Amino acid sequence: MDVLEIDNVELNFGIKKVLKAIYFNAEKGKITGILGRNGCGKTSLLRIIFGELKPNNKLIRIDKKPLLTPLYKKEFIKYLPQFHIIPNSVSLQSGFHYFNASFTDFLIDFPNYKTKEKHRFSDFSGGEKRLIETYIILKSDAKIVLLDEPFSHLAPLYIQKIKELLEIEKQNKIIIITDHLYKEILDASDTLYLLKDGWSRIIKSPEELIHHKYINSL
Amino acid sequence: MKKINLYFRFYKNNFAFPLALSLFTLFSLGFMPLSVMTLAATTLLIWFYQKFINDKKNQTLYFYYNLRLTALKLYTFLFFINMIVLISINIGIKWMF
Repeated sequence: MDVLEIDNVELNFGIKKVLKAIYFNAEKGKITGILGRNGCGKTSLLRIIFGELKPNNKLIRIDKKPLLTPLYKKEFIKYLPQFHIIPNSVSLQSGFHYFNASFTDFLIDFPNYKTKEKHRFSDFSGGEKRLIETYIILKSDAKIVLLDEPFSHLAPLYIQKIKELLEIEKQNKIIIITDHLYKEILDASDTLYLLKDGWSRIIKSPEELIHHKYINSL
Repeated sequence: MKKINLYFRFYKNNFAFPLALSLFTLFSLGFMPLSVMTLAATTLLIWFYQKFINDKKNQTLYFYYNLRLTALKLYTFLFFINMIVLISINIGIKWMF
């Protein structure tokens, strides 16, 4: 599984056309970043790829083969939405177990959680939950990983650590990432798309973001 | 084993209302088919309540989606386990009295 393509995406919410003509591809070995203003459809696009949101039109191909089944019904995709997904009653260790991620590896990267393996998710702060969930999704056995605002609410040191993990995990996974912390996305992404007015545009240089009025200055 | 554990985690959070209502029907009317219909109706009711009112963005389901469990599978499991409980209680009552 090397290339994920999404094409002809059209999504309407009532009379509002959110996504009109989207095409992008994401490859194994590269992190694909998506930027865009609030409400431009970034989250909807990830939900469409995941298969949880049904658009008016879409075509998803993996290694050039069209896929009609929602991807979340397959074992190879994991999606981190903007909100917390792991129920509060689940313990830290069980969370890793469910997603086939190694808790031992987590402790190597974040040794301060050594005494907290039996803690439930309700015992952690919002930022800690975000870190743990991002780590679990990223280190799961999935071949496609969708991350929606993984850096939000994270301390700078943790953001750096997640970026290092992204660099490692991209060797074996197709990773699509979106966040409003555009500098982190610019830094982490190998391929970058901007969503604007329902269209996707590939961004070759950061200056293009100014040209497309996503930012005023770098 | 992991999948069963997940199904029961969902069951634990959702079983009470449909089961209570179908048991109430069973005890007050003593007619099993009607209590099974009540169970099916209340299971659908809580599913639609979650889907269209309480959790429109399916936030509580993403955990299960990520582990390949669809809403249909989860609510079907909920219905069948509740039905097994309901049938067992009905048999138990008939056996005792």
